[in-house]
Amino acid sequence: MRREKRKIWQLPWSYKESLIIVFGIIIVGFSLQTIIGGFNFYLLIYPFNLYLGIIILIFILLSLIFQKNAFFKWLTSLHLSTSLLIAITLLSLILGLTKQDNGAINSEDVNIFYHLGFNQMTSSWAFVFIYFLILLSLGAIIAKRKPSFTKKYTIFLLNHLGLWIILFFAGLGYADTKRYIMYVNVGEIEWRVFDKENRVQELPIAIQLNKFTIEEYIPKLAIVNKKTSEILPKDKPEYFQIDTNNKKEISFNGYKIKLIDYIHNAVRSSDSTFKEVPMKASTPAAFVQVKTQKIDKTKWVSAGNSIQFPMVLDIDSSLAIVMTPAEPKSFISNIEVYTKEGTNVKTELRVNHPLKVGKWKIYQYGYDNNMGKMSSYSSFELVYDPWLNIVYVGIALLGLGSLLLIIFGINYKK
Amino acid sequence: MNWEYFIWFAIPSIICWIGASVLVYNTKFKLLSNLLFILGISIFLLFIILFWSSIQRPPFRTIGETRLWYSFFITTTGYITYRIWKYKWILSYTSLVAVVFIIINLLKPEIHSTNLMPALQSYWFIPHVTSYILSYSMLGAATIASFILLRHVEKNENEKKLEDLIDNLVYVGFGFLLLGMLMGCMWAKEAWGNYWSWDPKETWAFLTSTTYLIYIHTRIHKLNIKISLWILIIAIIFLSITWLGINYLPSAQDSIHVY
Ligand code: HEM
Repeated sequence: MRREKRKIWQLPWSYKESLIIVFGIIIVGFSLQTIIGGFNFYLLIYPFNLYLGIIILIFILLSLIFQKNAFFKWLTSLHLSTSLLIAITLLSLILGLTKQDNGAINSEDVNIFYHLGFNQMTSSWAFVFIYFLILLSLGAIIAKRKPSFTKKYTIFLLNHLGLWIILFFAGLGYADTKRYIMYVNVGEIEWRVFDKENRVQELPIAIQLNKFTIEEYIPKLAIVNKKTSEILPKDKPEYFQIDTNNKKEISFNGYKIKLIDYIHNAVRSSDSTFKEVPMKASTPAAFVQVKTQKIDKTKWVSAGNSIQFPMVLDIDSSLAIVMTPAEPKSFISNIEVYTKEGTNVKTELRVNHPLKVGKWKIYQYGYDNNMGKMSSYSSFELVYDPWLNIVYVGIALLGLGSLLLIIFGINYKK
Repeated sequence: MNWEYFIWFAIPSIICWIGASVLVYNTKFKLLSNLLFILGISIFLLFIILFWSSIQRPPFRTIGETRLWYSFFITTTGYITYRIWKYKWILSYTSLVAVVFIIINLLKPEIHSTNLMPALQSYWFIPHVTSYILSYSMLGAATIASFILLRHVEKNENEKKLEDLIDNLVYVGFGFLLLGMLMGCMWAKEAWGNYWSWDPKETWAFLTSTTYLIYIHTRIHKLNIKISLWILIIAIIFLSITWLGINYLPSAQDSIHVY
């Protein structure tokens, strides 16, 4: 017996129709993009995001009331879901393959792809349309499914609701987030910040920088070809980690090298010697011996900094032992934060340990890279994100959902 | 303990794994093959432990180090799946993949830096990376199985058990992928004040996971299995680009994830 072949556009719609509609929407998005330019997410600033959110919720409610309607059936179908997932994957592929710009455009970059919005994919109309379609469809899918106390439903709900909450609040809330950079000189107090476009603003929050310190890792030694500046061996550069606990002679690149002394905070005390001085202008220095059958030399070696000259140990006319520049281990700002409301917090701020003050979060951002330890300022990022906590709720639900997927695997259906 | 000693652990492990993969086909040597495989994993783990304690930081930093974990986890997951699903070929295939990664590490260890920059010093670091590597090894195993199933499908053979194995590996592997991503979000928020910024590595991780989602959803209403299996193969290509290829993409030259 042969089943009669379903004609295209005959209800219920399947993959063909779903893919055609989804890609039609993408084409509409790209056309709109070439005519009026990108979507401005900042249009969705409060309360307009609230209105749009309510419209989305009403739409989802309608889908629940008119479940039998062919359109809403299609909206919650796996055919459309999969087509939307394919669409967002392809758009992300464009996003992942093209260089995204943050405003600075060279005239040679203005080509067909620029007009299609490839360089700012996440705010292109095509991307935004698919994003909101996923919000609508996913919301209706969750609303439609009959709740039950089964493993299957729990896993379904946690994953889909978690994702929906994240998409809903992160997308609609984006315009409400504020993010500024503040530069504070040591010993000074500052309340002016810079926004993305480098415009100055004043905030109801002020930061006083009492002290800024950088801790550095113990550097490494390397043998370098003085003419080409290449580190030996040429194809696979090797570094000799200074180890103050272990001063054994080591064979390194064919030379016998021995660490005799090491000073982490060193300052030149004569032409060729260093001594320990714990000040900002200090730099690591190592007293190194190098030996072969022909030579036996010792010398202080240092990478130097903007005040102290580097020192190298010349092995012969072409090779020398050098020290690598110290890498920062941590940078710490000792700050006091004042707000208009009168709160006053004193803390040590470092990377990965932000400070929450009222509705703001303050992050250690950077410092003067050229000056390193001697940087005269520290910079902070101030972030205001009113929808953060609810996004975290979504992340927690989704995390729980993925944990259950891990635990049950294919048995989640039973 | 450093990479110079790696070869003295890697070669005994490889010998154990290859021996086990061959002996497993002979019922007489079943126990021996099991013991050999576990011994191989143990020797490999011993190197990781010794290496970790001597460098005094988690060995999750360089690509060479993540390959080390990959070899360890893929053989471990391979062994566990073999015990549960009784597919003998799993042992040989996972050994083969592990050996390839070991050989790459022996030839190109990429061990330049031993220092963690401040942004990487976080308690999220280890669970984030472990979760990803676990996920990669399961999704890698699922890909191997999907090639085998594709061959059966071509011959019109029905392999329900193998289908279930693939689904299972993808569900669990995807769970770890998602978990790794969410932990990455939490970490990024703490380090940079942003849980998602469409950094190239994030974008590629995102599209890799949506591709696995396409697979999962086509499997719910049993779309033509051949299409689903091809989606898995596309997904592992995306996954490899996310993991290893990002450094070479022109779009990613400013990425914070390039190392
Ligand atoms: C984190 C992301 C997601 C995960 C882990 C996930 C996982 C799942 C799983 C395991 C099921 C099967 C549930 C069952 O067997 O009853 C399912 C069903 C479904 N998913 Fe997803 N999914 C995700 C995202 C999405 C998205 C973004 C869409 C839509 C655009 C979607 C649409 C659907 C639909 C329509 C069903 C069938 C629902 C039903 O039978 O009532 N899912 N999903």
